Amino acid sequence: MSARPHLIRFRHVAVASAALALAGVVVAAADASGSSTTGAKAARGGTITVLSAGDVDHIDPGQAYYSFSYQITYATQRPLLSYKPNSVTPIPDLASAMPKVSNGGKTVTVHIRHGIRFSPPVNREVTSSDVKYAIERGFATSVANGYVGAYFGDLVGAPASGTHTVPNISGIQTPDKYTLVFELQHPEGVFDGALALPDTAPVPADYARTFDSQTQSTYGMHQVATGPYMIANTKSGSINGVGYKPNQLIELVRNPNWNAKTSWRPATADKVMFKEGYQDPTVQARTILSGAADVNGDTPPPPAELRSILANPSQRKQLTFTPAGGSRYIALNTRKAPFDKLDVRKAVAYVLDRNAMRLTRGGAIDGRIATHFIDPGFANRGFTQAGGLSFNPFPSAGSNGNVAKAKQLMRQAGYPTGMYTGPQLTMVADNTPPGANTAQVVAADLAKIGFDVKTISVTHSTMYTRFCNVPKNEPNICPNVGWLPDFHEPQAVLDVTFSGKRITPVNNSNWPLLNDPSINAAITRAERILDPKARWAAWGQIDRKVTETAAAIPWLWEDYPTLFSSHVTPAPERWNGGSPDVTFMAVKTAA
Amino acid sequence: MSGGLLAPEPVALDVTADASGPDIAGRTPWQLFSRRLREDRVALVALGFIAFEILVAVFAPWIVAALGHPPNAQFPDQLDPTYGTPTGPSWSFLFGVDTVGRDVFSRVLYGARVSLEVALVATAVSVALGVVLGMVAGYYRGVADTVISRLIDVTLAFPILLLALGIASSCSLGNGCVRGAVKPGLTTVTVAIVVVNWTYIGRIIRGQVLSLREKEFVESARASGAGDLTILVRELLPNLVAPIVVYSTLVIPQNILLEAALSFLGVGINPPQASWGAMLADATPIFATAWWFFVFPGVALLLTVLAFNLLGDGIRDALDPKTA
Repeated sequence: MSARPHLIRFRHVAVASAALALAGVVVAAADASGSSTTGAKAARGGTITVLSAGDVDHIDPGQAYYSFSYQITYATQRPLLSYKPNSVTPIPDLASAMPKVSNGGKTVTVHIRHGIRFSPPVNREVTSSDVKYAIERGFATSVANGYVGAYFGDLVGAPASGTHTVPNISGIQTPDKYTLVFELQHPEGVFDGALALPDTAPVPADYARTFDSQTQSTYGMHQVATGPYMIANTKSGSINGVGYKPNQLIELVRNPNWNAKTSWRPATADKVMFKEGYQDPTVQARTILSGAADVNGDTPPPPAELRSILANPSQRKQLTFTPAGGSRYIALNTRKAPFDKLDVRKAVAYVLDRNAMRLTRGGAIDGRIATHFIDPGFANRGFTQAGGLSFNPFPSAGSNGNVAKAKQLMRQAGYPTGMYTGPQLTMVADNTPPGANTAQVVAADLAKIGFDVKTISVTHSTMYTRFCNVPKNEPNICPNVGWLPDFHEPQAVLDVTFSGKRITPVNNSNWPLLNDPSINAAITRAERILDPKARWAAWGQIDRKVTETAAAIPWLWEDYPTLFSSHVTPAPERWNGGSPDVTFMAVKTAA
Repeated sequence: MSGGLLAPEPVALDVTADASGPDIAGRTPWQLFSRRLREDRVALVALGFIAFEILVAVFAPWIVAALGHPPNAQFPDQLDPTYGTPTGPSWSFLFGVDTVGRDVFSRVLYGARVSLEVALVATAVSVALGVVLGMVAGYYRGVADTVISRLIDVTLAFPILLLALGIASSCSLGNGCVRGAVKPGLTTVTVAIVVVNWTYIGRIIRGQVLSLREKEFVESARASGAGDLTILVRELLPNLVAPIVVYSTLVIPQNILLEAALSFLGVGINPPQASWGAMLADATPIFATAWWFFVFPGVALLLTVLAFNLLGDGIRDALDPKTA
């Protein structure tokens, strides 16, 4: 992958904005395959109502990058590959079969299904050039897709930075209407994962070009669908004020041109309503329990609600827990003293009481205490055998921190009393719980080895956009950052977040500003390994190396709770951090 | 009076001659005031509560040390290991713990310090500012009056909370504002309260001075050669004590509430410092589970504001019985 830094954004927002907790066990995920549950049977028809606190980041499928937005995108669009609920393995969606890799990993050939048609007003059949255009438009500044540079920047002929118009990339060829051939500069181990991202969902060039030629593309407001649902629109194709009322409502209706025989999605409900503005997670959870809505979209129920739900035998069946596949961590700014010193960072890694930090988000029900970055969810892909996982360079009894060890490291770092004596440090943290509480635990722990920490409290998004994402403004400590990978490959966990090559002046996601030449080189090597086992082994070593720098201190592998009403069958999407897959949910009828 | 003609002597005279009643003595305004206040039981109870609260606030560090629970110390073992929910009142944690495992009792005590500090300092500064500017405007009139009165009008045209919120949020980031003179936290809150609050007392004082300056005692002072400063301080200020005292006691609870509101909205006191408003904000989302986290700071705030209001009423009645 080539560095195309200014285009790279991140999908941490779901980890971050998700207000609260989840559990260490997958309680009801067995229900998640879309089969109906006891006492009622799934039927066609009905409306599913999803509640959310906020709006999508972008309604345009080529721009969307929040977990919440993906719920809408995957119900309305068909990327080349996609996921079933409770699976992290991509399978063909628009593609007719899995991609064929040849030429030592540098050529990837994909065939798409015949007879897939766009929703009104376009109505025509989807061809391979629509997929080519969908990827290419991501490079245009009017669209500025957040991940296209990271995952498609290695295509032959891909522009090195955003272009004013939609480029023609020679590395995406369309020998016939149903065939796509990708030519890569280097072999890419994770190309399947990239082909499952929403920017591979076809966009009709003839229809979209006018919208994309504006300064800010307006295709999102005129989008057409290929999936089972479409956002309700006018005859001319506008969704604005019809199926999409920003910060209020997104209304999905059936796509008349979707053919169930070409898709493995059941999509039995007739309508899906996303109701926004449910800021209070307690109100959200109780609305769902009352049956007035069917599932939580972007905000999980708070721990206190989880507690009462799990204590109720009938309600607990409505709750599922899904590993988010990402981790929360404390980022230490390695460019500034005192965290430019390895021993000082290690002292911090030892002094932090990760158990107390987890309690601020909900205790054991929230997930496992993280000791490194690659989530244990990867274990089911043979990763443990490949040498990854299960190591903890900074152990302490009960994960409560080891102050004596921390002081010893501080002495090694040149503080004779084991206590820090330099100037005050700054930390930029959330101004609302639970993030604000986590930050207070961190500040109290740091005080144990003499750090005087000044906390600047801002909203979660300000924390990212004004401080932690901007190296120039970055404080010593960013205690509320987290990362959800784009797909279940270690590269999606460790590359953008820890490679020195990925540091950008704005929208930076390498929050510790880690720039270790040996780690950078190891990442570049690992990206080009095609054999999965060898690749995972290589990433396992990188995970260990990164963790040992203590530049970022992981503390939580979160599980996401999803609460479903008793009217619907649950279907949490495992790859998308537990967000419900509405195409696998069904409205029950009385038995 | 010629004797003999008026046979029946008035009874009242007898009584007077008997001299058994209290002497008709001259009483200073202070004596009148304190006597009336002492008869107002409600005000006395309020005063007692405030005195108690001040004592508690002053001795909070020793009380908290005796309990072994400093206000910012975290006790993660007091949180439910599965859900992270806090535990309720017990013998060692009288008011339970909050969502980070801190002792709510210790934090309520320290919250009293913040509330009283803000209330007294912000009130003192805003009253001082209001009195000085109000006297200048009322006494000198002319340009000074125009400028100050328009400034008051403009300030009053802003919704108070919104103005305070704006000041507090613009100063609560980084190094504060006015080149670091206004630091985030207590200073910012105090400045925000002073800026919105000096106008009320300023306007009252200006009105009083406008009428007082025409009185004979001022004219006689001026005739005997007294300068402006002497007249302002020696002649006018003593006559303004009553409105100043009444206004101050009534504005203290308002300022306590304003600090609580700013902290509740997240632009007041910086964490981890304890403030009742911030505690209420943190407690709201888990009220159904952890009532103690909401109830104790809430009751403390309620009682404090109530006590200051009742005392303020009592003082006003004692100074000016006509309104009683």
